[in-house]
Amino acid sequence: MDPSLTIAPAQVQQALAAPPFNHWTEPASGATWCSFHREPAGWRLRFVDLADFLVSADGLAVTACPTPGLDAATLEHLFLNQVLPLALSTQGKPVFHASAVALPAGTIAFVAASGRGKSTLATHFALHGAALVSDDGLLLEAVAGGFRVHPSHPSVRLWEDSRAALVGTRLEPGPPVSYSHKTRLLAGEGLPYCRDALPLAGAYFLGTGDSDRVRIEPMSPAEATLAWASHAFLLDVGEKQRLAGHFAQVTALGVLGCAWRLDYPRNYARLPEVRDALLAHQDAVDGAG
Amino acid sequence: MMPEVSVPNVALSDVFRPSADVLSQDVGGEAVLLDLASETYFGLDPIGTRIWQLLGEGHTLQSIRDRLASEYDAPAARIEADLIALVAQLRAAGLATSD
Repeated sequence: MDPSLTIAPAQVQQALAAPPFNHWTEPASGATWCSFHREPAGWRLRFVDLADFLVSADGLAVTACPTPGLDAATLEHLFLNQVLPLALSTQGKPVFHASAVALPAGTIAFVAASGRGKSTLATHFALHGAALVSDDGLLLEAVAGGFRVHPSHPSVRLWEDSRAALVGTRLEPGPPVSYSHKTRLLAGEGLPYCRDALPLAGAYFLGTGDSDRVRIEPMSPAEATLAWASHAFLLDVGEKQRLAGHFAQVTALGVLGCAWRLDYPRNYARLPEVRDALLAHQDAVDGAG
Repeated sequence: MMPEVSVPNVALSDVFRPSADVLSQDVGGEAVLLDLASETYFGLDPIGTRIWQLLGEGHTLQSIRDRLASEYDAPAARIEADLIALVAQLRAAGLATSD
């Protein structure tokens, strides 16, 4: 279940006694923008100069502590895009860096690190009728015979060049957030959203974009397992039991036989070709099954 | 997947075993390993997977070499070299320890 969110009064971030056990850095500057700290009651996620989030040990409760002057949109954005997936992972739920869209046979996911184009691809699909399921923080649930995909927040974040190329002025952007230059588009008319949990029909792990054509290649179960593992949201893997549970989840995903490598030229004009290839591929997979 | 390492102090009479902190799962005929200590995943190809299984049964490397020679159509010297190289990599990664 989604954790409860309590918003505490704004406060200045005080120095923390214990060093972080992990941190995220900004790719361009190398500066820390989020540090992870263990605390007696759970974890503290410190987004530098923005907010602290206290996540309970069971992942069921989050307290947000914004810094003075932080706008509500940024706080909500941090919670939904960064903290929520991590909190869900502490509940033992498999969450991955992936976007997803709904097709007739189920949900297909685009799994990749930031910057590989998964949001652009999902948005292109959504603009052509396939409902958006997730922009990032793909939440899965093991069910008999496979996995089900739970929809996440009905929005998608795009860099300005992608937004301009894909939607132009057709869709109004959501409220801006102070730490990111990405534009957030809210689902609605013109950008359909799927509210139902659907079976996972396929996962495509995005390549670097070096290919000059659309390439879809099968992955062995072991390759798929390692790929899923490398794209997981995990707040703290310090507990062996939690890590063992994660191992069981990614191996179960690996043996599903629904993972492929996908690469294509990162050229907006070629996106229809990518979509056609993926739809044909899913038709072939569905027909073979 | 595995670090390239030199192979000192590996003898055919040695017995190497999977480290206690390593989880392994056969995934479609290939082993995926998770080292709980380093929180790192590793993958083994089918022959590496077979070696991993035999290590788990507590055989000496000489016994494993002979078993592999009976199972695979490859020169014994090549099998032995590959076996020792993999064991050295497993040990360097903390995935296997000698008795």
